[in-house]
Amino acid sequence: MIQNNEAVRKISVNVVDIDVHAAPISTEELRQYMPDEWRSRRFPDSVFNAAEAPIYVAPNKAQRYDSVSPKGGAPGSDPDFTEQQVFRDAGVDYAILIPLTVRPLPNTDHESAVCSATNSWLAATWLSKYNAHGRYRGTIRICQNDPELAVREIEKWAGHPYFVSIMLNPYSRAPLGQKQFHPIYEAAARHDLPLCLHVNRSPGMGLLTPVGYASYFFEHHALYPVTYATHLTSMLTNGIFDKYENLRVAFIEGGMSWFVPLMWRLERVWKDFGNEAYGMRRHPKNYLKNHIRFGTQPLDEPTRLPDLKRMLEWMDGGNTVMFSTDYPHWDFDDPHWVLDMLPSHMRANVLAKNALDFYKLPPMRADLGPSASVALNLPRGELQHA
Amino acid sequence: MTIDACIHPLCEDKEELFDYMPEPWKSRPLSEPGRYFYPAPEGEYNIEEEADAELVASNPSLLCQRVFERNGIDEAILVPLTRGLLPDLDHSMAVCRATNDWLAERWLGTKHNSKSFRGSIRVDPREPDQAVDEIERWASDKRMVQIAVPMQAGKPYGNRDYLRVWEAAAKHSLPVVIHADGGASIDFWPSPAGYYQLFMEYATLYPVNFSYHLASLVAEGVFDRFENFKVIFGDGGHDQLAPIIWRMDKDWRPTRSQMPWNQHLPSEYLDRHVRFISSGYDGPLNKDDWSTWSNISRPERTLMFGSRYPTWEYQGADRAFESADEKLRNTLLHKNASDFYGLA
Amino acid sequence: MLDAVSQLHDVCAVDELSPGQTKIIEVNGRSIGVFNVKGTFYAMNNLCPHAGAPLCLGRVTGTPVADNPYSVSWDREGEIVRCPWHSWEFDIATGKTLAGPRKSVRTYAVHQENGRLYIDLRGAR
Repeated sequence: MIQNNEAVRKISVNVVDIDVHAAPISTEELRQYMPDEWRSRRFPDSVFNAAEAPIYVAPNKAQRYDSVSPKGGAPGSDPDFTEQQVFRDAGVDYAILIPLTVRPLPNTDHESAVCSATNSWLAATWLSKYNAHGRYRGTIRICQNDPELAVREIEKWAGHPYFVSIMLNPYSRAPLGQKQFHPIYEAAARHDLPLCLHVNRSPGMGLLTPVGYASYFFEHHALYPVTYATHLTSMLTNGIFDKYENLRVAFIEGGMSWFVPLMWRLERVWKDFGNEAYGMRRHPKNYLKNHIRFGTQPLDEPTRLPDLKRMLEWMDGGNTVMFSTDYPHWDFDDPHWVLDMLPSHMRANVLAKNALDFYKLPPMRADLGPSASVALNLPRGELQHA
Repeated sequence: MTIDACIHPLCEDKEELFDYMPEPWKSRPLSEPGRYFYPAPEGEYNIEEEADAELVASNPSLLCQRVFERNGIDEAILVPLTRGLLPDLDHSMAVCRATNDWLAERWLGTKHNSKSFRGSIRVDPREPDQAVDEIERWASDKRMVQIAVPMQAGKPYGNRDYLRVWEAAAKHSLPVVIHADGGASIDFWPSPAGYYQLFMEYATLYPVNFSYHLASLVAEGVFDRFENFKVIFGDGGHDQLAPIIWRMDKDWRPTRSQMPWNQHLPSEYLDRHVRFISSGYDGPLNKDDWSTWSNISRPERTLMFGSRYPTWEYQGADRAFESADEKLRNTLLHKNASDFYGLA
Repeated sequence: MLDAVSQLHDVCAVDELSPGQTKIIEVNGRSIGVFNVKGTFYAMNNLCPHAGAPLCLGRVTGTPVADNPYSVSWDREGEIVRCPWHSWEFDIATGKTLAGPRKSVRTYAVHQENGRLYIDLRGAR
């Protein structure tokens, strides 16, 4: 925790990175946090492997080739090197950490235990020991297939000053708007904690598409948007945002542009068949601003790059899109590059303000830890220092 | 001038199809043609101005009159539906053969003035030997302009198990229409994350499953292998093509070394190999957005009009592409299908 | 003798850069990578044309090739650099991507004289 120190200068937050994957130094480090009754049970390291998925492996085993720490640790495991690459090189002020150390398991008690270990580990390391500068925030991992245990985990961490979000996994057994998941939303809403949807895959039936299994990573990864669209449509039509009015969900790593034509389609279907969705009391397009957000990474690259700006206008990107790097993953987005792709009037909001609002973060921070080595070209008036 | 590339003819009654089957299939029970899951809330054949649509669509001369005379269509392609993924492959192919015989005999001969229907050859691509035989059986009947397979599948359509079937299609210059079929069969979940709760979800999302077949066809090099192989995604969802293909293009360079047999970006296959049937549920709601969106989504390259008569998804040609300029409208209503199918 | 008109920059002794190795140098605000591909030397900007990654920090490798689907063999070992971020494959000799449409990174001619390596800052050969 930061001491209230008058001598520490406060500076304005210009870049919030809503998707950074801190990793344990080793699976041994994480196993120490497993609840007693699970600690002696053997299970594969790959369950905990925050980096490499067990199947459909991304290029370079999903890591940036230049993110191996000089000390030799796995990408994202070395706080000094992470600060260098994220705070200094990428110019990030706050980083929301999403640990990918819980790959779904059939045994929900077991998966909940891995969640519990992950959250305890994150709290003990990146959110305290490594967080003297106060620039990291964390995401609570839950086992969504056991909502009772998931709620218990949420209750445990809800008051923590640095946990700011709860992660849902799109590799689920049912679309996430359905009733069995509602206790999770009830708890999240009660604590005013936003949720995020982010992939963390395991082998097996979670990978099955409506038409069978993909042969190649390319097929699997390129079509994340279809999975994300499934969950979004389910959440809207099953009325979770009507039932829990302060609920909000960020869709991270699943792309953004797909939302535009999907919403048109949903509105048209709603016109003819909306009576069926008795839980969804408003017109479908009225949920975007108050309830739905998108992470920028991996940034959509339309055939004509400037078309991205039009897509962002259509989805009210100035209010609904939040910057992310996905550090230390292979398809990392550098903020300078992303900045150039955004309409200029959206830049400050996308890079910081929308996330500050969504996660309820202080807009000024203590000037501790590395600062950007190359200043970002934000509109004048945005770079204000106390 | 208008070409309607997707009309679904219906059997007069449950027994009609059995007349075209030999034993042992003739006396084998067969599931109903409709969807077991997600029935359309107001009826499968509920069309606002056409209370008799189901009747008309099961009678060739009535349908002829409705389509060619009343609706002013110039060419129409029939896409009969079968039963989706039946577990017994031989039974499935027997249903396909019977459907093709029924279509040829009952429907493709009927004329209205000089106009008549074109047809689709149904096959089950999970049974390549019989599917190829059936394609060969109909290939020289010029009234059949394409092959029809279900959207539902046990493996996405780029998979090497299907290659013999696609080879036969390409050999005879017959494109393949992929369209949701049946619905009381051994299908997987309709979404990548399980069963939807609501019909609304099904109606919004199911057509977007074309993405999985498209990604598979591209990744497995099917379009490179068979230059003449073409597919049509018959359930709509064309608007999702743009954001999906951008993502495929973006992922292509990083991952092509896993699939090094071709050098083309995924989007480069669209013009030659991929088409979509239109849907009344696609398109910006704001008229003013239409022109900008067309500039981005380029429907003139890949979209063809299909009314989907007599189903709940029906959209008449008069309502289709209302916000498009005249030239684009003509391309979508006529020229694209005319060029693609080689119709006069 | 080296042409006095060229803008030659001294990189290092030839035997300081062994086959398979990459050396990154900073010249006039530019970061440039110098490669030794089986005894021949190449140089290119250390900046990926895609999204600005430090291209020359990437893995030097070969690439799978296939005339037909599913029959894959390995080729061009040591001639390809994969961008450390999105893994785009670049031909080290030409600075062009393997996959089309071709994107390219600026390359520089590399000369040897008196046991030392020089890059010509005038640019692409």
